[in-house]
Amino acid sequence: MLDLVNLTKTYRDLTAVDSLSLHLEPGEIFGFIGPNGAGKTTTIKMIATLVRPTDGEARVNDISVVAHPEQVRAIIGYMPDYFGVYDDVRVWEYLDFFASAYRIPRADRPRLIADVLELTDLNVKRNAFVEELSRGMKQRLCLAKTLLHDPVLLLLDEPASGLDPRARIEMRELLRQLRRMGKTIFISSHILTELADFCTTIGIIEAGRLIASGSVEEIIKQTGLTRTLEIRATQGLELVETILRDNPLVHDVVLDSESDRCQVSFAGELDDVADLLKCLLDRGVRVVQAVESASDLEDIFLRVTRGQVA
Amino acid sequence: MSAALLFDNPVLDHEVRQRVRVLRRLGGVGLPMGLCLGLFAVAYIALIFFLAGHDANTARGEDNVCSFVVLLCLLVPGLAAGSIAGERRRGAWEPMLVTRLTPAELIVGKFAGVMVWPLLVILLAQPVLLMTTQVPDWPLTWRAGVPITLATCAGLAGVSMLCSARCRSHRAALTWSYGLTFALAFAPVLLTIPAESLHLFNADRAIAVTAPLCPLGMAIAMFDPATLAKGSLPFAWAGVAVYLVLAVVCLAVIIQHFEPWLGRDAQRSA
Repeated sequence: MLDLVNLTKTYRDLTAVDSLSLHLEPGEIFGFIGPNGAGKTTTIKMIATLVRPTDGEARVNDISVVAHPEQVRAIIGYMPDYFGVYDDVRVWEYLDFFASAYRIPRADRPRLIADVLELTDLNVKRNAFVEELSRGMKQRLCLAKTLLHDPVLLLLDEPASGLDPRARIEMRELLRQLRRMGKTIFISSHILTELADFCTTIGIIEAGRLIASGSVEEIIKQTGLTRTLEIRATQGLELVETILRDNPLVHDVVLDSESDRCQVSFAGELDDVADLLKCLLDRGVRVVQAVESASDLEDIFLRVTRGQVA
Repeated sequence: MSAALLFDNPVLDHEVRQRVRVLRRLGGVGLPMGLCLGLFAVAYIALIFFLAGHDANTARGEDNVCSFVVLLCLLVPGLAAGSIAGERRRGAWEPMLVTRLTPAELIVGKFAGVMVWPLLVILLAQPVLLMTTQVPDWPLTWRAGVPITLATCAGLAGVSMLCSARCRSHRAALTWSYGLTFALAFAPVLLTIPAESLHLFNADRAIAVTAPLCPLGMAIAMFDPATLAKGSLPFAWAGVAVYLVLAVVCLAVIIQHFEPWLGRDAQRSA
């Protein structure tokens, strides 16, 4: 679906993106993470045909973004982090303009506009003026515009930035729905916990270089990091500690007897976690809860990056 | 291809609709049109009375019609300068670049959007001019004034759009647009004043020389009965041709340089 091979962008003496290589399969949700100025937006703009790469190649569905940008534009949907809307334009008129810009026949436009408005839950705002919409609604409208021509690849640059918690949740639900529809999504975001349970793969970029990519599992493995498990048992925390410390994949155990919980620093994969829990149950430990810490992606990000910019 | 640019151009369609929406939102079509007409009439009458030294008889003379061109010369560069630079400033340009619109559609659509206002003002102004100057019919010079004024506006809009495409900021685009408008539209006539005082030209010759070079000279040549009688009409038509060619050349240059100025190579920030 998407192939980036040594993609590079330099501005005079500044290398914004440095030999970035990546491969995405159809239906994959790729979370692109990095500090401000790392090169995320430049990368997305190169794929969206808005910035010409200095070197390397980017191909969408095996079509080069440099050689055939018009063909690529027909199959991608790009949502920028900052976008402007026209004053004095109603929601449906805004969508109708972009539908015509994507060469959608006039007869098909009303149905398509109704479909994307329903998908983005903006049906009730069909006749509202765009300038009257809240920030979250404008973001959803921009996403609706991005979906009009049924793109196979969605490039979303910080779609949740500047949104309040409710709007973020709504945006996340919308993206989940798009995932269920089989869209391939390339998304950059700062909200790591949201990406962690949503993306199939992630990439971490710093100073223009992709320093890690793959599933969260793979990155944990690549970087030699441990995952944090929180286990709660109704009794016998000492026994739990003994069993855990016997396991070679357990690096550290911290007990909290007041809440009957222990935090385990664990270097294994998901199958190993399952084996560990089975072992506890087999030894008669009454496990009430076993949760992997949701902040794993944040931990990975903080440990892998150094806060450098391109 | 060229017909499609005008009759099947989403940008042009959008620009025209947007202007109609602006008028509608002001409270129905009748009210804004009446307002435009009234405001223009007041501005026009004030200007010709000022130019005629508060003499109503002189004010009714056709030689003052050129002030009409001057008013539009001040309106068009502001609109054209914002057509691209303004869109980029508010982030509305980039989403259009990733659609399937061609550079020609974008540029011609924006240009036509700018030209909607002068066209509307010119058409609305005709009855106002007839009423305020109390002439019994619609004189030939006024009828000819419509294409002359439109050509002038088109030329200035083309130049201002060129500035808009080249400049990174809206403010710079406005500065360059009005600077070049002054240089193109007014400076040649102003330059004839010292030339005349130094006896390099007489007034009629000066006007005839500047007519093809600037809209003000063109308008004076067109509407001043004295210079008209001396056969300066061809100079005025040459001015129309110059301005139309200027507009076409400017648009062609923007379309030709679309990629480095407005497209993929225009992005300079990471």
